[in-house]
Amino acid sequence: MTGAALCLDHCAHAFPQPDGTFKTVLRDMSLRVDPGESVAIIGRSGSGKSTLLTILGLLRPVQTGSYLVDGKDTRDFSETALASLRAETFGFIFQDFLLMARHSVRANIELPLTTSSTDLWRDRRKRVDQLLDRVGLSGSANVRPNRLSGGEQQRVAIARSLVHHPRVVLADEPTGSLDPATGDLVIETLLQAARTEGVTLLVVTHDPQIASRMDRIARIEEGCAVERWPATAEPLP
Amino acid sequence: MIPPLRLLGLVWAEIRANRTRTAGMVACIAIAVTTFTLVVQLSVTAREGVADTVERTQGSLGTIRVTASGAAAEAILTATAPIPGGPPSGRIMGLFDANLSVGGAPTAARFAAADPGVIDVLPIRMKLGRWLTPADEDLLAVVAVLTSTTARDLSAHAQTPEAALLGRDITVEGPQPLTVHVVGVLDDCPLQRFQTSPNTVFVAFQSGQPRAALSIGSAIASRKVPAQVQMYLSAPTDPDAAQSSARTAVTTRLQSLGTPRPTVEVERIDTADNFTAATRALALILTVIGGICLIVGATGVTTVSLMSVRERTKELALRRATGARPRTLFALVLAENTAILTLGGVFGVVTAAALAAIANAPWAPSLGGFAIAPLSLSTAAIAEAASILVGVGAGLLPAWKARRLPVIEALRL
Repeated sequence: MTGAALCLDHCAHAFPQPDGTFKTVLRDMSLRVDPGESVAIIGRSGSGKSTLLTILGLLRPVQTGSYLVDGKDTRDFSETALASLRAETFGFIFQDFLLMARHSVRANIELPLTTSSTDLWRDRRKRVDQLLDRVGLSGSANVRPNRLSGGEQQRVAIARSLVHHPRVVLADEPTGSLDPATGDLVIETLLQAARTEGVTLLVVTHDPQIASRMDRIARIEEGCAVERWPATAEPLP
Repeated sequence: MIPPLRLLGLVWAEIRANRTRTAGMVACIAIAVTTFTLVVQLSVTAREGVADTVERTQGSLGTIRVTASGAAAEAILTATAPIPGGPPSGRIMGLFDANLSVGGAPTAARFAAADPGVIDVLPIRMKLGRWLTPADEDLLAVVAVLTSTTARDLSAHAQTPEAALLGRDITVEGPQPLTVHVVGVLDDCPLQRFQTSPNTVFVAFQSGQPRAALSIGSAIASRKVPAQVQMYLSAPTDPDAAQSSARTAVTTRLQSLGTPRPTVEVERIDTADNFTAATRALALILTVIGGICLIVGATGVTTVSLMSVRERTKELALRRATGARPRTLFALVLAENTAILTLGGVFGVVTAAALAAIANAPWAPSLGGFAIAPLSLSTAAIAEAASILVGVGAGLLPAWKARRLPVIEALRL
């Protein structure tokens, strides 16, 4: 499994306001991510980091410009085709985990496989067991997520983001709700899992320490991406 | 499209994760289906009961009566050529007004010179004695069958009037009084439904010779012209067509006999038809009531299901974010509803079957004449099919909401 190449070219995005005007968040965003690369996306609050991530994850349509996933222009895709591409290409990790409280940890991890995978039941089960082992939650398969700590819940989310062999994992402030020590542990788990699976990793973060552990940093400024590589732990201007 | 088995697996997981909600929805629809099933079964019971009653009290279906009076009546009785649809396939009664007595005050009655075969088409039920036979057509020894009302009028002081008159002679008043011998008493209740006077004395005339009836009339009541002639035709297969052709045939015949404007009524008199129509209306009303019960249940289920979709907004959006297609979510929510309503339907049908069985048990207390037949397989199938159909209907709106879910807003990204 190798990561996918993402190419966002001169993309702009604006949100309609109650007074009828539009608030532009992304002005002229261009970003290229190579297969297997890890990229940190940083920027101030409201700079459009999460919006960018949702555009990259095909959850939001491109308003202007173009977005290519492995050379395929996603503007031509129907909703169904986008869902298929999303299922086979992307894994998501959210700041507040977004786990299904009424279902077991196993069911949560299995979620992306339930509606789109063609794997047999025992293969899916084996895959979930493998990921539970990788994130260190082998003994918690049948408990509900609310019985786990925040760090454990985020590790469940990491396992869920990888279970369907995505080529890109998009993480939106994965340590935002965790204390620094737990955050480090989670990031370590994520990087290790991403390396093992060979996926492309994009992480939205405020934390320079986390950003420095990526191959590259893209800072959003005035709706555009200012890139810097290789990443360092130094605060960015 | 998601494979059916996997869809079932997801539905099962959802049901397990929401036991309380599922139980509530199943109970809601089970009550509705129980009511629906019992109401439908009640209509089936009513229909069967009425059909049975009709069969017992109304005789054959498809009985047509041709009623003629005045000149038309005379024309029928004096016809030398057979009337199409008339005797011997039709049965004739010539009705004459007369007064009867058994040694006391006279009683007004209607005298019916009847073809004995009329018993085949009229709902005549004997209470005592026997009905007329062709052998009774001897005017020298006229035998008669009375209605029980006539018997009671003539023998009011007897403890058992019908039995008291059986085997006795009664006198028909007139210029030439005639004595007739009572050989039977019949139940007049069914006759009332045929608009024939309950005070009727039946005597026989020879089948196929309508003139004989006139002779009887002349002999008994000193009237050459009967007050009315009734001819009965039996057409169980297609009564409506027979009614139409009888009207045409009789009218044409009477016109050819010199009655330009014959007063003839041709009508279906088997009230089975009316009963059937009434029962059909009753069944329809009951089914509508049952259907309303189902709709009420379905509305409850739809409401709970909509709340459930709202409650699971994030979860459904998460499924979309992880690659589920809109139509997959549509199918998932629809399948959940259908499964729950199917399950509720099964519980409802089983409960209804149990209640119907209890109502029919020998040890069950009397329900004051109320009866319900044991649940038939067809009713159970109808109820289950209805609950599945309602399940699909009730699930459409929540499924549509799930399909149209705005992922970004739902996930608050």
